[in-house]
Amino acid sequence: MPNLRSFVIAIALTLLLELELLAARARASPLQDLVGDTGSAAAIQARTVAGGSAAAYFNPALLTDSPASATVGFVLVNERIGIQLDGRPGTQFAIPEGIENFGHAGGARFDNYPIATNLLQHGRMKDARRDVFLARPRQAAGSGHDNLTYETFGLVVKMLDDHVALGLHALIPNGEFTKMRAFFNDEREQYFSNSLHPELYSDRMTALSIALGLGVKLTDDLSIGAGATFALKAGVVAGAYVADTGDLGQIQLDMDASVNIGIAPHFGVKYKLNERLHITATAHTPQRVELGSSFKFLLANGIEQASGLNFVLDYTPWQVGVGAAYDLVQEPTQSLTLAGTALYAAWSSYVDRHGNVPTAAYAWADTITPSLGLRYRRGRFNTSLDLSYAPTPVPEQTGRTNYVDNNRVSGSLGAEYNFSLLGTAISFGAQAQVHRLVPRYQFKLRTPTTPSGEVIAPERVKDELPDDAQKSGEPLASAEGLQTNNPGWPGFASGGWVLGAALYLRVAL
Amino acid sequence: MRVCETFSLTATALLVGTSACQFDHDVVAAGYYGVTQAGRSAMTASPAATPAATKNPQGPSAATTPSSGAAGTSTDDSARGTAGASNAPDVPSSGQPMPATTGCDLTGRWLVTLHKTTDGLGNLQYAHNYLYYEIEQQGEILTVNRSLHCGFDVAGGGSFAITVDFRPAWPGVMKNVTFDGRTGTSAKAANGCKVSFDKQYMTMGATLPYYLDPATPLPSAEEKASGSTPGWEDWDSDGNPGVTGTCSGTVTGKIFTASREWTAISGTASDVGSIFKLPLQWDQEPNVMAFDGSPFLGSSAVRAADPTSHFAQFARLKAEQAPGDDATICKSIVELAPTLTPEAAGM
Repeated sequence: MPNLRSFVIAIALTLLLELELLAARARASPLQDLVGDTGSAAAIQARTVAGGSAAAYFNPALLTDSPASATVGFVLVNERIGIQLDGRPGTQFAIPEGIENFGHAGGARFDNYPIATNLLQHGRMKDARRDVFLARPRQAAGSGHDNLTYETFGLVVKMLDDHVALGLHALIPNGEFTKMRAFFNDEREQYFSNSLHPELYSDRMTALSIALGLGVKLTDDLSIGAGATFALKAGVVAGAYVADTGDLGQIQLDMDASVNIGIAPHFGVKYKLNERLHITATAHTPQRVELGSSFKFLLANGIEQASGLNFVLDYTPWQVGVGAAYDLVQEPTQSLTLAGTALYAAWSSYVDRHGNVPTAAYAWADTITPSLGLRYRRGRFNTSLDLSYAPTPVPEQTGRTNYVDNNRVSGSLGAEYNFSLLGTAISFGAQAQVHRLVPRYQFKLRTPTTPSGEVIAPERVKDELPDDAQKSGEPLASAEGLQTNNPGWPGFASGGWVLGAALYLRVAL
Repeated sequence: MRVCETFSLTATALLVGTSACQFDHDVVAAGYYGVTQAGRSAMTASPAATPAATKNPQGPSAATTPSSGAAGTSTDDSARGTAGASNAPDVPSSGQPMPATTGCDLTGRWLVTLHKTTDGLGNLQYAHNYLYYEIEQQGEILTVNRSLHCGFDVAGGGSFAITVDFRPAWPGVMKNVTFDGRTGTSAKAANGCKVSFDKQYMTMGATLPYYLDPATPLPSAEEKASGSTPGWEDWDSDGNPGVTGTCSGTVTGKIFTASREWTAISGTASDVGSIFKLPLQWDQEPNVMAFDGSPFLGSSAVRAADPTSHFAQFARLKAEQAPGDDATICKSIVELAPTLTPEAAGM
């Protein structure tokens, strides 16, 4: 049907142009990596088994084995990730009120100033002297408890006698569309949510994912592919005129913003060793969204000061996968395929939302995530069953940082029904996924302190009131030992579930 | 307390969780979050430095106590208030004054400018008090026979400089605050004269002498003096509590204070003939009862840690300088301060 193909190619080219526009909002794909292909029976084995348009992201080489089709679908994800904080063991560890005017012996200011613990936890009513202060109780603003829905859209177009396949796959969040939320992983989060957050979930689950892939069948046995996801790189410079430093509500703002598009390429290859066995390899380059923000404050007295920060969101490291699929049963009416994939992820290069790299003492580890699955086809039905285990790259958080993550055990079950309507092949499928975050408890190690206030173990929980603290030159006996508002101190546990369900409809072109 | 005291290590438990740790929501175990600092404990004077209860706020020679409930709203000069401390050397039991120390006699009329530095959120502010002292010295013992508190202000430094103007309150402060009877010593030392003025409390905008006692909490905005009930007093007659400071600079608005502070002056001056400088020890309870304007005005500043940033500068007045009645003297004192005591009157 050359006319139809021309039509589809025209649509694809149009979509590419649309993609150029969408790319300003396009992001990395941590969600995609979690749920796999929700538009075909490839599911969690999408790097190894051909399915549908999701091959554009997971392994473009498999696009040549995917049928020319258009896919629409709906995905529901229920995050039920819990973080449980240990109780603070005594008032001697609290930050006292009035700390804003304390200093080191000799009068030097601290490098940073926490908020009084009591104030942070309970807030303050407005009185004649002071404005109201809204409480920020520990873990009252945690994340990872959302119900999220997404639309999926996919397209696979074949060209040149099926030797070339072009694929487009998008996973688009509904509701708030997409959230980007930066939080600190140490005591500095007290100023904001004063809570811990699951590092690799939370806002990462709302990442818009759009991938474009091209697969080429070089021989009957060998296919290669390349694709890309699109990442945003934006910079915002906000000039601010502050007429009254005590009334920032009257601040005058200007903005100078720029947006660039970064491309994170990925590659795949598939080689058929024999009629029953094929192997695959994939490589995904790091993906990230970068938001640079800087502020220039001009005061009425002519003083000008500037500050800024580059946020890094949805960071996904280098990922290299190898896989194999073997047809245990290969008959015209039924088949049974065993598929396995091992995915190496270079999490040791992780960059968190504030652009910080975990300290050497608590460096993240590279991981290998194995997965194993079965595909069974009989008559009009295709079914899939997968299991995987993803070890956490995050070491025990016994120090200052509170990166929350868990080992994850995942299971996926899928079924697909194929039928013909008005001469067009149609597939209707459903998937259910369960991701168990294995409970994990971690406690903070003791922070050594010195009478001089010298920091001798910066990787441990920070003593926010140094032992040499003074008020107006007079020593504070209560400064001895550790005082901290680190929300993860003295320990915390985490665990939970991520549940997923998907429906899709695929129409052959 | 740990939220999950035990963890089962069985595979089943790992996958489905334990009944105590379902992890489908966030939990915080009971704990301690510090206590609200009770009372007004900014003043940390040692027992030796606490003004003795036997001191008379009208002068160190009397022996009455600023007892609770004993003072009403003060309107006459007899209630002008500062409270002295007890660390003045005693007059010899013979009652005979010691001979004056040659070259260290402070007898005369003095302009005294106090220079105090405070630190609020890392920004330094410089507070000045402009005082008039008439001193009489017998032997090593000196006494302030007449005093006037002529004015005070606050000037800020740095990017967030804030200036606080208390001028409308100056007449009220001059009328109510006194250092009369303050004692001290001045004696010859190896490198000049060793001079000291005893520790003395001063309160502005509140009933005197009731609030001179540091053990008495300063009034809140709701505690207005009435009849025999002590409280804040409107010394600048602007209808607002206590003494009003008008802030300008990078923060604007008004603060309404009833403050209390103590000062003690002690050090060695090479020459006390005309102008000299001595270290100043002091602390304060700013007690901003209310504010009108920026919420930042509710913040308190504390004494800066650098001891060299606190000092008093003395300038001996000639007969033709600052003559007249109280108001005239004070007008001259404020005008002369930048010239005669430029270091203390500056930043």
